[in-house]
Amino acid sequence: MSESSSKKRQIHVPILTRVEGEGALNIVLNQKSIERVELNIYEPPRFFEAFLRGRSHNEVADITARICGICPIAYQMTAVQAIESAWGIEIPVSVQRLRRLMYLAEWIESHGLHIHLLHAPDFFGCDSGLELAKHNPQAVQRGLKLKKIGNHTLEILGGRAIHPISLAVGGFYRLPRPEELHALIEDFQWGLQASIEIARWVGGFEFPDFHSPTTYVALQSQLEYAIMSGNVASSDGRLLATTDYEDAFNEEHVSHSTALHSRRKGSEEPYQVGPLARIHLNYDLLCPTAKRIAEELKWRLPTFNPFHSIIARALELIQAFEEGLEIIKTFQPSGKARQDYQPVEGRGCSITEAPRGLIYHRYDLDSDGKVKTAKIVPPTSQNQRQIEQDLYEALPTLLDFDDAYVAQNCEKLIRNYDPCISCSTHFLKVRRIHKKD
Amino acid sequence: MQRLFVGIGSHQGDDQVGWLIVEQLKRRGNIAADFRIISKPLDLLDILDNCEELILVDAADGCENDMVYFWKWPTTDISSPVSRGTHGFGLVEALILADELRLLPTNVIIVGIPVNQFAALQPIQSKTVASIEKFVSTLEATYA
Repeated sequence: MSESSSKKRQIHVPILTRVEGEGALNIVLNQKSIERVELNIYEPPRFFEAFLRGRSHNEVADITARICGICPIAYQMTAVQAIESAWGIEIPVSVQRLRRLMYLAEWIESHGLHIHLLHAPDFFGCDSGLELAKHNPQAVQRGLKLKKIGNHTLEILGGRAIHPISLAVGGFYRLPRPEELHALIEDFQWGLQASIEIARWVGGFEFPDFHSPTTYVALQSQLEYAIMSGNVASSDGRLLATTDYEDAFNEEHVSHSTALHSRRKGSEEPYQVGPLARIHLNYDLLCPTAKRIAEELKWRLPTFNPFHSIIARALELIQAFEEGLEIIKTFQPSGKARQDYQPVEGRGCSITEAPRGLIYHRYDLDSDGKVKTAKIVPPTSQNQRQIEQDLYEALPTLLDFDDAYVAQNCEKLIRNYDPCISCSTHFLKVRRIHKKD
Repeated sequence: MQRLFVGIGSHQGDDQVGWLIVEQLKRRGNIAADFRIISKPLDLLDILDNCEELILVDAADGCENDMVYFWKWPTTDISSPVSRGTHGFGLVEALILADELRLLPTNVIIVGIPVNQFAALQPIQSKTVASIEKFVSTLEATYA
């Protein structure tokens, strides 16, 4: 795992554990100075943006859902909203609320799993969720029940839990009956109480005293805790419309990763997306119970401790269940499941908040409604530079320890971001090489 | 529910063979059981209520072709590839967790279907499709 010489020290973690997908960590130290810190993503790029070219707009949700098995709704929802924006399709409020419930269900599943099986073990000195299950089976079972509730909600709204099929450009292929949704009330009531318990649990964890400067970036809305619409806000005060995203952000290749790195144009500094960013930029619009519990925990913002992301996820679980319960109880179907529309040549884009953070889709469509070009920016590629910065910040405090300890603590830092490496390997630009005759 | 067949897979090439076999078993109706398909092994823990016998059908890499393999859990003869499964919870890890949480029935059989193509967004190979009938018949002969 490491090679030591009199000057250089290399620490290599070949396979990061308790993250989704395949990645490695490579650290090169020259005596006490840090020469290199690289989050090596070696999953093969998936070329989804190329697959989408020439496809009907009706296929885009199905295809993009397969980018990620953990958060298919984030991809599907952002895709259909982008196409709807190209064609001026307005979705009725009742359908928007069902879509929001669908998205909240994905948050429930993702956050519940990450908190209990991937992140919490780090706070108990456990190597895995399996080990945590030996010491605290009730906590792990609680996390699994949350995942089950999220899955079940997606089955009802999406037609199935594996790559849901009901989301369509213009609305849904089918609306649920009220009684189908009302059957979820008991689970959501349980989930709300469980989430409060979880927030109190994680709020009592012992957090490393670690600080890494960052700029938080997330959707922000004046009306609600932003998930599916809003402007792109930054904690440094910048605010821009979704349509201006590509004017402000860029993706670039790095030699040590098959995943692109995102960067704000004109800045060398990294930025952070995800639950901590959302909480910072939308705190006032958290539901009453989530705010009450945040106050109870005496959790103060701003925080630049990425380990606090587990608190942010727990508060978002409360948000998801409290808001989800309200949507379920008040749902009354009205109007059509799917709005009529006419494809025209044009461009549309959308940004939503996947469990891991901001996700951007842009499509150029022809007059037959086929995709000409596509651009998809997932959350994990946006956090990679921040992750590497966190490692740079932490390493000086770890250098006196052995390699295994250094590696273990670096992995813990990475897990704060719940990276979905499989999503982030989505694209390579092919450079044409002209050969001379 | 007493006997439960679960097909595990994904849309990556031949990795969907477990789904196709379990769906075919259900359609043919020759085995008295419940039938489910999942993509994330951890989802297994959601569906074990009242299960007394669990038969998992999954694509297996590293086996001889044209044979159906049976392993009785617990076993160390199989492992989960690092790149598959959710967050490092492949099938083996999910079974260990289910065991730890006392969710598993006493009789758990893992059925391995030999395949060797797992590319993302690739269709299942025609030779694998052609073998499904044979694999289904083997399972019916064993469990009907």
